Amino acid sequence: MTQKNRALLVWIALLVIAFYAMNCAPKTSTSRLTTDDLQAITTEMADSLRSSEFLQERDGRSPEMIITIQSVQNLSSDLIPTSEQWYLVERVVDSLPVRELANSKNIRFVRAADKVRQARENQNVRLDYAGDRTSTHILTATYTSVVRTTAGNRTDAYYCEYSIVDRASGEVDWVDKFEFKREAFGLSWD
Amino acid sequence: MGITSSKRGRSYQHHALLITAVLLSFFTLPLGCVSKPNQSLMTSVKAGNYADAREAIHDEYGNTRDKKDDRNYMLTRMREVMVDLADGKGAESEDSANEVYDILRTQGINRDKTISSVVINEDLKFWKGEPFEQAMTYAYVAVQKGQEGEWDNTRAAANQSLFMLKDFGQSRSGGRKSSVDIARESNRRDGERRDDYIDNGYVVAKTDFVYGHLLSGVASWVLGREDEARDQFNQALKINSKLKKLINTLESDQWNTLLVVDFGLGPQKVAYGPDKSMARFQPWRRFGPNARLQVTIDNQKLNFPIVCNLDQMASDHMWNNLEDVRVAKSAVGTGMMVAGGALLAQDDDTAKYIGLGLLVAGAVSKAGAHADTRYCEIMPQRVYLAPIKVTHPNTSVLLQVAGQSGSKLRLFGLNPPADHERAVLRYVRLNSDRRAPQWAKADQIVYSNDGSTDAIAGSELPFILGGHDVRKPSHEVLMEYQSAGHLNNLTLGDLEELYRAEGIAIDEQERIQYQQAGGDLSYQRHILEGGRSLVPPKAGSAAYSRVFAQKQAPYQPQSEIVRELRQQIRKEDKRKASNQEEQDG
Repeated sequence: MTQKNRALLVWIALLVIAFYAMNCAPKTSTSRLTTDDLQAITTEMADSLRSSEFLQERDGRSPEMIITIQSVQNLSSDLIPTSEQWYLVERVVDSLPVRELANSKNIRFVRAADKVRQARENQNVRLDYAGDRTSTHILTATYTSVVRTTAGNRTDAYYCEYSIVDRASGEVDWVDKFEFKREAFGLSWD
Repeated sequence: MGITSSKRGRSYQHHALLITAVLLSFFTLPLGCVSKPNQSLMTSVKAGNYADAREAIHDEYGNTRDKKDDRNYMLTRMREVMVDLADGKGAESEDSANEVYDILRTQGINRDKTISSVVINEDLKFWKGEPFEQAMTYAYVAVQKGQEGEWDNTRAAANQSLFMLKDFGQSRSGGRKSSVDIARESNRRDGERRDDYIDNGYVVAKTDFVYGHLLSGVASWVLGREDEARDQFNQALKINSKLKKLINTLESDQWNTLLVVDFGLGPQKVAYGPDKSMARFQPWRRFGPNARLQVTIDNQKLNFPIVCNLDQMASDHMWNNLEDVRVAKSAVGTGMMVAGGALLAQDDDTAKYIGLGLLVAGAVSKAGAHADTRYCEIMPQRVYLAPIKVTHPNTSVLLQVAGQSGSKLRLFGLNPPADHERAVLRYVRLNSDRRAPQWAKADQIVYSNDGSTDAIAGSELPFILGGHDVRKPSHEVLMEYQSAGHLNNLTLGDLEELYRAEGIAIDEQERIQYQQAGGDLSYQRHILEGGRSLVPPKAGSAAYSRVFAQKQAPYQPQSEIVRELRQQIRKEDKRKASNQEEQDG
């Protein structure tokens, strides 16, 4: 065997070893919503609501507005755990100057009845807590998505719509949307 | 020059030895790694002893439970989800359910392991299950969400189970092609070294997973999305026209409670063929293929058809990933031996060393070759959906698979949905032993608990003090004890302290806290079954019947304070009894 052939043989063997070594660090891919996505959505929606005409037009003498926060309605193709569903609307409200809005715009935010009910069931609140609350508006969000798949990749196009609706008239006082895509590569079953 | 050349030669020999050693270590690693199903887990699940089943999982996989890079991580979590659901612990299985969902939604986890699985062994891969196991796992996540009233997430998870499949069509004899048929066809067309037929010889087909369509349809119906529900139901009907009556019921207001009922143990995965290089599923036990689920509620007898038969699914190539390409791996092993033999024949010492290494590595690779026989051994053999109307609290329902007396099970404590709910979902796993245990056939529960308002004899004292009451301490519960003449000197705080003295978790929050602090599985087991938890299984589950519908061994107090109090109560009861006798006499 010539010296050149020996060197070639050694290099081939080293390449095989390197190939196995690469197995130690699998690369994974998912088109699910990430924490960054959730933060980006809620930040943008809070900014949109803060600067909306709906809020700008109000002052301290406007009729009292009680806005019930409802959890996200998830009509997307992906699972959004309940805690994240609440996070997605509560973070929008938490990003607003809630106390200032109560004074300068006569707006208050309250939790939805089902969350209060759950808290009651867990015995975290007094039984009469929020017993006869009536709200004038509802803040809600709906998440939908469209999925496209091929053999080796998947794209989820998410569409998130936030709105504040007048309960009495059904009129939409504020609405905004957030769209984005997430793409994943690799065989879905593997 | 000669000396230099000789030194260089020795240097190459060292390199060659090193490479040979490394190659050998790679190829010998997987030897002896053939996986076997967990028999103890299977035995417990068949008998409905899910607290034991959980411990069987922990005994085998406890050390690697939280290691996300462990090859069996998802398999362990999936088993947990199934056992927790069967044990009436819906909310508690949420973390594991979310975890397995997240893994299933992650693509290409084994992307970089394809070559090593072909060259070495298939079970070096991270276990994600065959497509039918994946569809079922999505369905379990959907059921877990539905049981907690998260119908939007039920819809999402059920929709994920409806992925497209690869259809290689029929065999010449007319039936569905088997994996062997496909392997033969691949060899005939492409030879042993190429997989063009496996990669491209199929038609992308819509799923025939009726169960997923029905779960998605039910979720959409509950969410008020009737059109979408109808689409899903129509898809299910196209696949199986025998479901017409069931679907008519699901589309109506004649039901408010959906029982998702699993029965039997699913097919076993076994290796077969040359080098045990192929894997197939075979039925664990044959049950009546069309046996219906009989349901008796309020003296009304109903019956429901099978919506999912896992024996059938597992035997269809569409529901297998066809990755058992052991033939290809075996060919690689042979190739290495051939190459090694050729190098051994050379005059050069270095070439001989490398040739020897390749020869041994090839032989070892062939000897260690086997298909990946890991599978989820507690999958059911079949699934039923039973939409029923529960009209009054504490309803009991009797279930049995026709002709399978061992599957008989009475459920207790089913309630109509709350005002804000359109329907509720309850998951039930029927026993699959040949004889039903006594608790499964019992007519009534014998311990008062938070899932029932039935009057139970002995409920005037807590179980830990000799009574039959296992409700969470509250003012109302304490008042009941006191109105029966017991524990008059105790406050609610004192009563709670008694449980703490015994190390018993009185609610879910405490249970999680204690368990995390001590890592002790006894907090997953109810005190009636010798555990340390007062948290009841979900009313209407099989576990609820197992825990509350059979008389359990009396509680043995651990703390001095509870022992003393129990003595006092006994003395007091004796004194009262003798006073009563005197009065009567």
